Amino acid sequence: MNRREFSRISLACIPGISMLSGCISNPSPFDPSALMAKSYVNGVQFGVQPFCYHDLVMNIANRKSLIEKVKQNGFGLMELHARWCEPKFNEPGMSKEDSRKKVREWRISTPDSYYENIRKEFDEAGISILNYYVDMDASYFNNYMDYTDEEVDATFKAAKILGAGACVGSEGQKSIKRLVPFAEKHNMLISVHNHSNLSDLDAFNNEQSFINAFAFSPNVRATFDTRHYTAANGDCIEFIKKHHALIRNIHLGNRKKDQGRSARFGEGDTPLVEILKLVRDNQWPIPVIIEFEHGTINTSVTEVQKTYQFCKNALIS
Amino acid sequence: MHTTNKIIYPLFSIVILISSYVFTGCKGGSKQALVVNAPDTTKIIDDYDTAYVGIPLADTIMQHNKEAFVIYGCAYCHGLYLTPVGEATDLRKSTIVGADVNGNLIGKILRNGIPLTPKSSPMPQFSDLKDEEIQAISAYIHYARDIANNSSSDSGSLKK
Repeated sequence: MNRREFSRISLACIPGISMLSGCISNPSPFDPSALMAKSYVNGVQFGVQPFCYHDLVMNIANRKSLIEKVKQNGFGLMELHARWCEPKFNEPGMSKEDSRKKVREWRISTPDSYYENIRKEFDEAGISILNYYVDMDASYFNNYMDYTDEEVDATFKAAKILGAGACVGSEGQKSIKRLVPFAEKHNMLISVHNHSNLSDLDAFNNEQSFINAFAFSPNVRATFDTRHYTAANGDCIEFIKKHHALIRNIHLGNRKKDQGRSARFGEGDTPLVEILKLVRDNQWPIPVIIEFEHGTINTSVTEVQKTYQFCKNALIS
Repeated sequence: MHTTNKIIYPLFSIVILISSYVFTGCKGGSKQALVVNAPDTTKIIDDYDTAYVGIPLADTIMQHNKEAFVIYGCAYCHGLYLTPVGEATDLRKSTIVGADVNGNLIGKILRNGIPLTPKSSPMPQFSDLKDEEIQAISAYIHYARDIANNSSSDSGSLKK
């Protein structure tokens, strides 16, 4: 082979080499701390609610895929729903009552090492679990049966092992009041998450409902959902200004007013840019967790990336 | 120097050729490969999630209807193939859908939502949608319901 032949072959293959390097090889080892740092944009810490990965069913088997997607999107922070950790007991023919009983037994008998191993998965990926999302009321997800005290206690303990500072769920005011002593016992927070249901007097749906919960205990915080607050015709900016000290995190998403539908970032009624700038300019240590329910035919990683980029653009302007 | 070149050039060429071969064998065209390694880029390329939305339907009008059902968020709660997620109504069994003709009943619900409900998240209203978009969503619901209710599996034939 002479130099001319070498040059010809080399030039022809250069695109292959450069694309290959991005395709299968990763010359630098993964650095978890770098991922953590990537979650900050102009002082605002970002994370993701895994519900955004609508193509992933929430279960134990998909947890590794979830972690990969969170890494791909460059987040070092997230909320983790209990369904990514807890097994389902829904064998064919099993009654709801039997299924519920088995879950209960599993919760109160599972050793610490089970959750320690899960935490290790996230630690190695460079992802911190901000909140453990679990509905501990008589909800659909709970087969309409309340958690027993033993289950609540075991759940807070599990959340703590996972590194979460708070438990959060879609619960009403009565349920939160019941959970407060458990949060206090475990030296954790119980965070209140709002929805847009204005017909349920027990629901978290406006400022007063949050104020009611804050009065229960110093361990109560707000997981302030901007989508639902907007749909319930609340003023997100006013709420954040007044209650920023008690806001555990923000669920940043977009809806239209008057119980309107979810919308892409930039198209709905939630003042997303103003919210982000408010947190940035005041240097409030409020993590922003991206959570959207607008539909997309893109892959979930792409759509999360679009919403994250929208936020980045807002914060650098 | 000359001797070194004699060794390096052929070796380098072999590496290049192997690299090119491996690359062409690499499963390029993966939808996610377009963006996943570039979290900081401002150029995000649209892709199409066949894993979630399914292979595009041969019926292009129904494919458009299906995409409307996805894009406006219906699929997140009611399920792409009408297996509901969480507390949403099962549209396969809904009597309203059963009685609907060309969106006359579904359209009313979409326009107004269901604000009064014991559920934690009321059905939102879609009053800003155009008539054509309401029609498209309604048509897909009927299409998916017919297949789901006439199929032993939930989604098999819908994905094609």
